[in-house]
Amino acid sequence: MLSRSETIAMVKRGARGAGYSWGMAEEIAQACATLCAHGINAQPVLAQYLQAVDGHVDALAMQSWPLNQERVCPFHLGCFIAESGFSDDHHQFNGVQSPVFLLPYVQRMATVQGRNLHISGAGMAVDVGADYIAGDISMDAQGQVMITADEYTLTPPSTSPCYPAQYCDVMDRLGQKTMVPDSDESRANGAGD
Amino acid sequence: MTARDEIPLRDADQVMRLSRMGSFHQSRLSFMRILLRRMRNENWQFDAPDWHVNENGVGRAVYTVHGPSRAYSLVAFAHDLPDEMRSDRVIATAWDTTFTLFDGIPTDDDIARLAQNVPLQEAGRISVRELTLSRANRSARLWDFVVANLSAGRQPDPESLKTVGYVMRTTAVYGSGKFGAADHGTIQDRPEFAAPFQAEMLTVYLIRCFVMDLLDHNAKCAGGKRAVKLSPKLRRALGIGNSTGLGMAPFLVNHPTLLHQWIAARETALARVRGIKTVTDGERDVMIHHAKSAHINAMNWHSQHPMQIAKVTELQSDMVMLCKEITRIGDAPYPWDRLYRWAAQNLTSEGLEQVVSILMEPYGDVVDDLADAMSIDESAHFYIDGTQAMGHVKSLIAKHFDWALKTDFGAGDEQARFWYVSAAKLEPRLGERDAEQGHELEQPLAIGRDVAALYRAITQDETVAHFLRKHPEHRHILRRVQMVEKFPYAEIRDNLLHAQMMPIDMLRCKLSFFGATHFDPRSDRWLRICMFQNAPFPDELYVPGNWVYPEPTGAI
Repeated sequence: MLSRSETIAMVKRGARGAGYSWGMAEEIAQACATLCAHGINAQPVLAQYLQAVDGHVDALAMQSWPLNQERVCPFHLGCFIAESGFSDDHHQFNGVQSPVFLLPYVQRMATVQGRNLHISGAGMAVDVGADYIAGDISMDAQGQVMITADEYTLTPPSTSPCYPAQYCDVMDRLGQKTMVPDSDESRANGAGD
Repeated sequence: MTARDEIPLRDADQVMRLSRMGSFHQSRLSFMRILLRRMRNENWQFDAPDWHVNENGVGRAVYTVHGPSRAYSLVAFAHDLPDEMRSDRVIATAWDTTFTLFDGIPTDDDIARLAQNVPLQEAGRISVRELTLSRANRSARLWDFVVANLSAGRQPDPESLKTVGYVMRTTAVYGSGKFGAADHGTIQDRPEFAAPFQAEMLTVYLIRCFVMDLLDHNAKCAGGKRAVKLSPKLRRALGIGNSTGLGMAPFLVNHPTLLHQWIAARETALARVRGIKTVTDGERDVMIHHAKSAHINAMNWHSQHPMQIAKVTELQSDMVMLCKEITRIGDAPYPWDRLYRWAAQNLTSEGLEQVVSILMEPYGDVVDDLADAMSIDESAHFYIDGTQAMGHVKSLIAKHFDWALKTDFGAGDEQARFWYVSAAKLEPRLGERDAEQGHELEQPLAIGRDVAALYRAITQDETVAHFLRKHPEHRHILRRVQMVEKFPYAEIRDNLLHAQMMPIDMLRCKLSFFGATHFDPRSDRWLRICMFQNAPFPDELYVPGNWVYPEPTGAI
């Protein structure tokens, strides 16, 4: 097991190594930690996702609003919908990759709006409130996702925070791409050690 | 409560400059002193150490302390380290001593597990039952000198001890979830960890107790019946050293809201004391006493770095002037505000910031409660307000980052350096942009440059959410701009890429909040300090007196 702070540091480096901006890498780390805090082990799918987008994350960034693209990054979309102050009762998005990563952002929306939101589609049926994420969570689905304002019907599981150490090697490998190897010049300049 | 009037806080443009932050001193609001006050006020009880160190100085010991509701134990390991392996560098793999702070009282199984991991430090793994991980090396010359003297039945020469101030120095004190330790979030609700870095401070405090006992133990083993223990006066004069390098520097940048809380507490304390209209003779005497202590401290402050030698020389002169000025301050209203304004006119930054700390000393009832406001739930301020208009963001930049907008980051010196993480050592480093490879892997510490770039990128008044949808590369800096509206002391208002920038100023700022003294830069990017020097040992916590600086002759 890792600690929460180790998880955040590792995922931030990994996301940055895959090509996300520093600010997005911070968001991705925070989103992963939120899922872990709810006992949802999304690390395998995050590692898989980051490997898949490694080097071309811009291709999945939001090109327009309203969305009009075949595939969209769940983190870019999540930030946008959580930060836009939407209060509509219904949203539908197509082509969402790994929509499990929308859950932390939907939780932020639910917190701000003070109500339960239900996320469905892509193999998921999940109730999300300020302090719970409950339901069937698909880790490897993608496609159309709907977010609706519904009364919650699903019973939140009694889970404990879980920060697994699985797939650290993938994250570390990506994270290494954010680091600078020693060079004769850096050694000559005394680098700071 | 002392009556006082409202005095505005000092402006962030004045306080948050590197040269100013690099002149901060410890104060009543330093984390070591917050811990000492709590231990005294709550009557913490210290068990006799569970001592298993052999005649060669190798073994383990457990130091348990009982607070009102919980116990904590320093588990200390003493090793036989060949001289050639002793290194303060982060790449070291063995140390004279290694430590962990255990949450509770460890069982034999816990000790066995820790014995397998703590001596390995980064290469080992601790658990959520542990709060910190640390190690320390002997100051080889002074350790041997003290042990030789004690074992021969005499006390070491105090002047020799004074020059260094410690016989062992830590090279890292890890907490907050590092290497498997408990996350700060899991313990922050405990009152004893409400203030920042309290677990780390408790660790170092108990390390100091262990080190003093180890000195006596080694002297006894070497000298037998002839050996004497280090005198209480000399024990008190010894702290724990610490070597700190660039690894600590980005902390202040990576924790902007926390930095604000620290600075705001200090500035509020200063404003409160300046706002006191009338003072008693007793308060004036206490102020004079602490000024004299600070003067002695300045006289005892040794450094080998030309810059710090100059600063200490100026401080010594400043303290002479200050001690005279306090006696002349008179009975007119707001004496401490007048003293502060005199200091701002007549003293160096080093002297002025020492005055800020001294002014708090007689007024625990006025300032100590601010310690409760020095932590913050950083995650609560992480999220960006996407509904804000970019026009407002632009005005925030103009208000808080004027210095950055006036900087020409295209000019050679302004962007001469870059911050990066070393692949070999996994530690922050500072590179020379023109001479070294890797600037494309720069860490996001170029706050001024990136704010200026954000400012230039704002071309229409849309919402933040829509702007970031199109420009995710500005997300990290936009988050900070929004933070500074609520937290004006969150940002260092200087260019962290400049050719002449001194990273040790950042280290000094952070370490002054820890309560460190005797800053001794060894280059522009690492320094040595002393922690808990002159602090009371457990049996001295209830004795009135100065906890940081030496007592002047004729002490009150």
